[in-house]
Amino acid sequence: MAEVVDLLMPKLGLTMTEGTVAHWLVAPGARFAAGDAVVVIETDKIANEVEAPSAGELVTLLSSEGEVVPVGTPIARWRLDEATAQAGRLEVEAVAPVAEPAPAAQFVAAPARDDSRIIATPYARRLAREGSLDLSNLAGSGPRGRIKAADVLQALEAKAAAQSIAPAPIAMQRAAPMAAPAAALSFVVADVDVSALRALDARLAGSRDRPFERRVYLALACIKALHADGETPVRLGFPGADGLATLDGTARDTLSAIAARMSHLQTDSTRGDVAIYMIEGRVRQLVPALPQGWRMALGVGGVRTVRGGDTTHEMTLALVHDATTDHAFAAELLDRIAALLEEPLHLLAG
Amino acid sequence: MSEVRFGQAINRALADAMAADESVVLFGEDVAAPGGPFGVTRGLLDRFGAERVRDTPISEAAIVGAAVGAAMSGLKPVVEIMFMDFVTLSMDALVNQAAKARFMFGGQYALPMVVRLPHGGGINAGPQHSQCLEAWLAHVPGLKVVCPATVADAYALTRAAIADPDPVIVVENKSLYAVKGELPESMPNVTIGKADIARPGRDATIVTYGAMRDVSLAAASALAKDGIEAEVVDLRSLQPWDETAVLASLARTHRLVIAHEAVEAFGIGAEIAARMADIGFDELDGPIVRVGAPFMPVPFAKELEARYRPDATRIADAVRRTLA
Repeated sequence: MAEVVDLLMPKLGLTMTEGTVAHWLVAPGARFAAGDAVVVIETDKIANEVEAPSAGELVTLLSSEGEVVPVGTPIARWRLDEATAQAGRLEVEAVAPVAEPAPAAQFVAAPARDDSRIIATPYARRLAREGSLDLSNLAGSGPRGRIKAADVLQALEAKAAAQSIAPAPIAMQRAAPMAAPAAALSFVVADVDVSALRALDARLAGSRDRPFERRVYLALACIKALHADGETPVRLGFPGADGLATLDGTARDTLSAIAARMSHLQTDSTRGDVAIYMIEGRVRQLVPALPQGWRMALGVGGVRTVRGGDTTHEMTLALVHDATTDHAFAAELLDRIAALLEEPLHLLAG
Repeated sequence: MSEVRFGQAINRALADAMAADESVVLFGEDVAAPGGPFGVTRGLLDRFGAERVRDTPISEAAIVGAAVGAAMSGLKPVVEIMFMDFVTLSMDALVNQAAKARFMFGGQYALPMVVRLPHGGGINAGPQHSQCLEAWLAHVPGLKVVCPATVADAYALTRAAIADPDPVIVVENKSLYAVKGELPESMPNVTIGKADIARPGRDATIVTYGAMRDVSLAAASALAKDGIEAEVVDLRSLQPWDETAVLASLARTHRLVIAHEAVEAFGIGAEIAARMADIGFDELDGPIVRVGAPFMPVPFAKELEARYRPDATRIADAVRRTLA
């Protein structure tokens, strides 16, 4: 018999902090099928139906219609027939915050239309993979804008020509292995699968058309990876017009809090924990120099599409640290950052 | 080297096989005294006698059933079903007996029998005398299926089929019987399962067999005028088919068209497309396009039949589509 778990108020947008239980569609004691809408949740922006991730039974209501409750609050108890393993898998796509350890799924939103899908022939994809070419910026000449081998070959030629002319930017290199950027520095590198993060970001963006915003997630992942206690403040730096701009936060901060702070960065940058440098596009790895007064610097490469059994998206992180920081510590920290980015629901969990 | 007709090449293959091996016998409707419905067995009764070349009653079930028994008893029967359409009447002997014998008797029986099946339209013979049903037979484990497209292959594949220890279906397109071609004095051995590159090319691969080989070559010539070089691969053998050769060609051209006279739906082309979409996935630079007959019976009227059968224009259009 499946155990009874909480149905939580989902987080339906980056800025949503509370929601209204507008309408219960299933009565307590009634059964529902997988995909059935169970409750309508309203925010000031949207009304959304929460769908059951599997068949089951609604046991008790904890919130009545019209009640406004904070995100993450249990609004009902339900019993899901499918084991939590199944529900746990679905959670990766869910927008609801989850408590530790992960309970049964809160809900599965209707799948968003994937406008980011690249139409390319298998052979073109193979050539792009072999030539480390990102297809997302490539225009296809085939039907429906399909990218063909000829388009990739042309782009690869252009890329080769550009590389032979332009000098490589300092501290920006295309592929591992590479030399350390400075004698007293060392760095660790990790590839991160950001497929789940991108999916989550697309959900949070809702209908708004905006590019995949990595900064907020990276910031929160760094903070949580450095000090999970929620007390110790972490100072992050981002390159701005004049030097680094800083952001202070703790593991208690929500994504939306970080997002809000991101638009009002401070300018005191004489010291800090992690300076984050990001590049977009095809360059996969960035190893930044360590700014004066900072413990570490995180270089974030462009997001690339990896074609395999399942198409995934990856980016490469390089964590640069000075001689006073143990490389084992740096490796563990980077591993934690990568894990948080790969399972972004942990970023949502408070 | 001599120029002979497609049907004469089969006749010569039968005669050479009978001369070389006394256990080779022929029977079927009108194969003896009349010399075959399409003249393919002409002269063989006189040369090899009534013991080895026999006319049978109009019963396809009896013809193929007798062939199974003869093959089990040490003969090498070569039988003819006048039109492939009537293989329907012999399916039990073919599918449940011939195809299964080696397997069910633990390898103690080999069934060296050949069934010749004239198929295809183009001779205004109507819905029951024009069908291409080779996909049915290629679907049955235990049967081999070959389909020659040239005079040389008509000879070579017939010899290979007779020499094979297992039941082999030789599919002969009726519209090819009168086609003339070169027959080398000494034929190279043709192995069942090997394709032939009929025309090399770099831009797209057309996989075909039987009568569509010439039509595909005509399409390739037309495409060449536009600077498109299509490679034409003649399968020659449908079961087993030369997956390696098709994949190698696809790896050169990255585009695949499959053309056959049979109905497109659920046909040989579907199998080839499915395999190449799997093992050749990363080679594909365009959709795999099939060209076959529409999903309907072969029409009788000449004008309709001409539209029904795939032609060079349709094949060339398919190549252009996959190149788009």
